Amino acid sequence: MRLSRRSALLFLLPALMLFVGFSWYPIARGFVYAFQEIPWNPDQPTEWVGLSNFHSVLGDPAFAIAWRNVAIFVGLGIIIGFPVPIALAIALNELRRGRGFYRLMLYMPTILPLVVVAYLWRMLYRPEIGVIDGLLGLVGLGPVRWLENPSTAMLSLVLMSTWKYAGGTALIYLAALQGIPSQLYEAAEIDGAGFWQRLWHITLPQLRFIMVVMLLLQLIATCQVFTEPFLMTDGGPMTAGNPHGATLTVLLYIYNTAFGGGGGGLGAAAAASVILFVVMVVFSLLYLRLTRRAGAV
Amino acid sequence: MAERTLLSDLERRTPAGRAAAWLLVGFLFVAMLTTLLPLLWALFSVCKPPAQIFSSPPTLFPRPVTDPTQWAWGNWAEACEQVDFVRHFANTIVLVGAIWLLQIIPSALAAYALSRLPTRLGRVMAVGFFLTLLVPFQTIIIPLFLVVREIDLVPLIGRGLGEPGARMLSVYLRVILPAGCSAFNIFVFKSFFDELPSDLIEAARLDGASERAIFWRIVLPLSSSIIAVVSIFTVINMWNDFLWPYLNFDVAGERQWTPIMVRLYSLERTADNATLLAALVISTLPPMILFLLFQRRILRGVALTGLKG
Repeated sequence: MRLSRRSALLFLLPALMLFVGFSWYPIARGFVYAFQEIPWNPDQPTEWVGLSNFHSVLGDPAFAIAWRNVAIFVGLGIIIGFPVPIALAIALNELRRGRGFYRLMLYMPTILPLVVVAYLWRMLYRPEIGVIDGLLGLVGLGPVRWLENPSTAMLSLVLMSTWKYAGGTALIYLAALQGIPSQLYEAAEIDGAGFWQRLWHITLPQLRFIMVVMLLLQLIATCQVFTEPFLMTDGGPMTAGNPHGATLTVLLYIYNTAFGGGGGGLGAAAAASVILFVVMVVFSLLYLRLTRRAGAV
Repeated sequence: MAERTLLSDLERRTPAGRAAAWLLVGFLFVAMLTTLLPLLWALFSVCKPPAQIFSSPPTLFPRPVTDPTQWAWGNWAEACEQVDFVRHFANTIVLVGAIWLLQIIPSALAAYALSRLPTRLGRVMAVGFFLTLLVPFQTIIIPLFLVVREIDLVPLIGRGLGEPGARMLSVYLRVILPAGCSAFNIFVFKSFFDELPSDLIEAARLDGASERAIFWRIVLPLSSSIIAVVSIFTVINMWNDFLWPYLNFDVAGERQWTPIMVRLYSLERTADNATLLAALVISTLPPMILFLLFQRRILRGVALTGLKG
């Protein structure tokens, strides 16, 4: 049973208008803006400047630093943020009582506003008198001065992200765990496999696909981190060794370039966005290829 | 019968198995405490005088713990004094409500068309929508910002509505309209519509129902469960949204009628810690209440929408 072409078009029309105006057109226009100088005042004319926006962005050491910082965020995220939800999901799946309660509690930070979480954690990270440095002080450690210490500032953001998102990710892993057929465990048990062997040879391999998916999604999300450093560190701390800041992310760089007085302006920000756009498309295609091949999503 | 997991029921009766099970519970308990303690600290710290919020060693409860009459309850009132919550909540509700309508209805209509239009045209459209999933919103935020700032209703209706009103309407449209492009929703709805039994729709058509009537009277009611799930996530996410509204209000120099998250950003520059904490807690109440009310639907929907990334 199918719609006539005319009524189908009518059904498509509202979405089509929205996408043309606010998705497809801005995407295309972004590539144009990248080659223009755009004055802040919209009444003044734009000017074609060729590749100079790209030259200024690619020649800007802060842009390279931003990518390096994002790479560090990704690396720390893989070491810290990636295994936590897997462990949580495995533990949740073994629970015989109270699973609903734990799921609810662990998921809760996911629905909190990022602005609220960022301001709250900035207080917790307060050097010396904040809760975290205070607790470390009780056992004779620290003070670490988390956000003000260039070697822990990015780690602080990763820890906070893990706190906020691990519970939500754990529920996705939990759904995958519940799909593992019991016969696999029973057969392994008959063959004499112990707890760790079953974990290593059955549970984790069965999660492999969803792990790769989550890893790629984490990668894509990390490339767009903005609000956390914007509200908590403003890209800092800046040091002599790294004057552009230890938590300057690519999106924060784009924001500073566009709206920070000294930056290269809206055109340069558009050029940096185009570069980010291309990187994102590559990651997304990878993700797509992966999920398509497995027949999911 | 309980489902079989890593530990078998038989194993759980052995000492080693019992120890392993308890270890896992202990791990979850620590994780839960880590999740909850910062939130409880925030909640209780609102009732502390400034000197107690930051102290070494840190404290969870205001002192004296046993006598809540001595707690610094005034911080709540101070926050309400400094932030007009009624106004900013109302602004946020208007924004979120409009975005909700725009994320559901055009997406559902388009999804229905794609689901019932297995032609070349349908496939081309589906690919067009799909490609936008490849580019996260943030990567086009600068061109989008430059495009939407051309929305200006002042010359059009400034006379009738008054200049400030027309300006505010323009800013609201700038924030709302781009949020309507949700390819994700289109595909969630389409996969749901694909599974709907076609005999119902066929029967309605034989009875002479128009396509429009079929959609509104049959398809949408049958899809209420999926629409509810998508709606809850949309409302919570949009209440929490910061960057896009911040750009269009604060950065664009429109500092009136801001949603609550943008107001928190400006509050942070002027308020002391206790007042800020109180405001943070109050602004979290609406998504928190929605979460607690709809926890079952939300937790069941996570596997679906969690992949949104």
